[in-house]
Amino acid sequence: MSEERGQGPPRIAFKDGLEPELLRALALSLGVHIAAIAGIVAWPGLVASSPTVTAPVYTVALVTAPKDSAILSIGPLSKPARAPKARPEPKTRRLVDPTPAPKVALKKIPASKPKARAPAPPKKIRPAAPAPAPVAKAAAETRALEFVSYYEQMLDNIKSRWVWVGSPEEDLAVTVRFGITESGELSSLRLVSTSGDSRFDRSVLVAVDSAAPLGSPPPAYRREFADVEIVFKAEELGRR
Amino acid sequence: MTSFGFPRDVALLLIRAAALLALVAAVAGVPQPARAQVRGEILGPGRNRLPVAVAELKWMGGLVRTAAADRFREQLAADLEISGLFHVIDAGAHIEDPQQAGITRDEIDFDDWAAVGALGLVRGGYRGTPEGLTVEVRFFDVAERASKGGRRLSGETTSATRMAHRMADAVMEFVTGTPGPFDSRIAFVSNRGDHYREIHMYSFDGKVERLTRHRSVTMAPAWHPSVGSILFTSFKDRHPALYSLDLATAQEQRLTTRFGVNVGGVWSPDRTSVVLAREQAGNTDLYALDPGTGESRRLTRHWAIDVDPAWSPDGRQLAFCSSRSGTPQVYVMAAGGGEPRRVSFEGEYNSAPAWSPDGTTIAYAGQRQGRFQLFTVPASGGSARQLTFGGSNEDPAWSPDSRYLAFTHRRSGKASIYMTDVHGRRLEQLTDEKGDDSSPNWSPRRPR
Repeated sequence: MSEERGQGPPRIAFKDGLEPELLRALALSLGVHIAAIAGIVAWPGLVASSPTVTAPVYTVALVTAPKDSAILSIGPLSKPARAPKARPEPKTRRLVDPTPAPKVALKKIPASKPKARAPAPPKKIRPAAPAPAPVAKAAAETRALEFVSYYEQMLDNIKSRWVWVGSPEEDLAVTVRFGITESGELSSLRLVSTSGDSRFDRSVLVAVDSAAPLGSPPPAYRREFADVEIVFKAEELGRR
Repeated sequence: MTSFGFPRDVALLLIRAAALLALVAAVAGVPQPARAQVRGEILGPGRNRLPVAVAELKWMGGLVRTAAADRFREQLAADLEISGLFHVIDAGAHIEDPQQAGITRDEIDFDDWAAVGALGLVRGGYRGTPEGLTVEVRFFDVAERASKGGRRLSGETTSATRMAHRMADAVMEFVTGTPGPFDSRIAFVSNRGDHYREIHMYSFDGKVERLTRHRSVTMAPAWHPSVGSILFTSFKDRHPALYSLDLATAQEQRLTTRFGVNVGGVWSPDRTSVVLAREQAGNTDLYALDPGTGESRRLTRHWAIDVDPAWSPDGRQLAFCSSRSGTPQVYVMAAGGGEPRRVSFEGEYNSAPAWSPDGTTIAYAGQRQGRFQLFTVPASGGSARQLTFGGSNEDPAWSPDSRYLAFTHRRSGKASIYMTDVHGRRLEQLTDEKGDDSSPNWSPRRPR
């Protein structure tokens, strides 16, 4: 064993006749390439911003997408943009769903508001307050709180919109991915993995789509919320 | 070593580094699912009832049958609500004028329905005929703006509720893939009306009909697979015997002639035999009776009491209750007899097994703290799950879609027929408290 260790790694044998200029050029060329590759690998934006390799199983029509761009295998979730339609005010007063308001503030559908959400006002999910703390640590904590607050409201908002009438004991799970734009709109909503049950998949897509707009993400975390992945499971806590 | 102006070791190092970097680059270049920056998990839906609007039927011509059309709508809404799968949005909140707006996909303003929170919409019309009415109703996915299916149903005005049951079953199929149970009936024992326990029948429009007038004790009703007749046990001839009541003709036929205690007869799924419990020489065992010949064959042979037979839907096995372990427990054995396999283990008293029509589950009543509660256990064996907790709950009977159980619910001295879903999430009272109701048996779906 000790003998082998003393020999070291095998060496590449050079022929005596190798041209020194050629060797030098080769080494220089390699040096340049190494530097270039190292630069590419080390540069965070280049790799991180490479396109997602996970092919979406389904694509759903987005609210803001033009009608023709909807590539659907499960039917459009959102209707095409429509002109606002005025409705008589007294009648709309009766529209409120009589069910008690869920814990999480749901996006109300004002009767007079067309569902075309082009200029949708951002919802009041925790406006990103300017960092007031002079101490860097306090500012960081504030930003962390903003992140957690927005993150939890996003999940609560989507969950409260999620209607699934199937068994709570079925072993169904689906993963969706989407981005939240600066104004809180959804972008690129897609299934990353399917549950195998198209009804279940669709219930999840409808939930995410109907939860939008989700409000503006905290400015410090816009980039993070531009790429969100959520796993939905049929099982309820405490079951199974 | 440095004769050509470039250290050979440096060159070697560079080459090795290049090889290493190439390897790293190759690994990094392998397509990997890029992780999203923000990741989360949602366990269980926020809501497990689909908000659905059931629109008033639009009159499409012919005679005006407003009352029947309204009954149809109201019954359909009631069925969907009781199913536990839907939250029916109050009709007063509807925006669209049902008599003005159209009933097809292109004519419906889905914005109006989305605005009231509906994800599903039941929309249709009717045509009044001299005999009654013909309804044409579709179920729409409001978000998708698409029809998921529809039904055209015809009948007399008096059958508007039956048509609604069939439509409700269809809507449940459009939403879940499995039709609902509402076009079915529940036979049960009740002493309502007078003091005798007679066989009654409940329909999901709330109607209760008395089927027997034995002025004696009747018990254990069990549907024929054709839904055309009901088996039951009656003491009207002083000895308990098995009878079959034909629902179309109201004719009764006595199936057992021999003296002795014959109770709890159930038809085999292939309709060729009836399995019952018979007491003979002081011992109760299960027997298979051929109703055509009157011949019977003994299936269990044990000193213990064997009662409450229930067929597996494929007709290959029987679940039953036996005291052979010292306490009443639920067992399963081959339909022709053989060594039974015990399926209930917890508790000192488990009885009245019922096998789900989809074959997966056995429900039974088990005594806990002096009261009976409903339990389910996988038919293949496994741990039991308690479904009910309040009051005393007995006699589980499966709905034809295996989603629900009807049962006897006793509380404060009153007994009524209730139903729950198999997850124990929802309890619904079916029969009123005009009598002591028990022993429900849920019919298969009715033939059209």
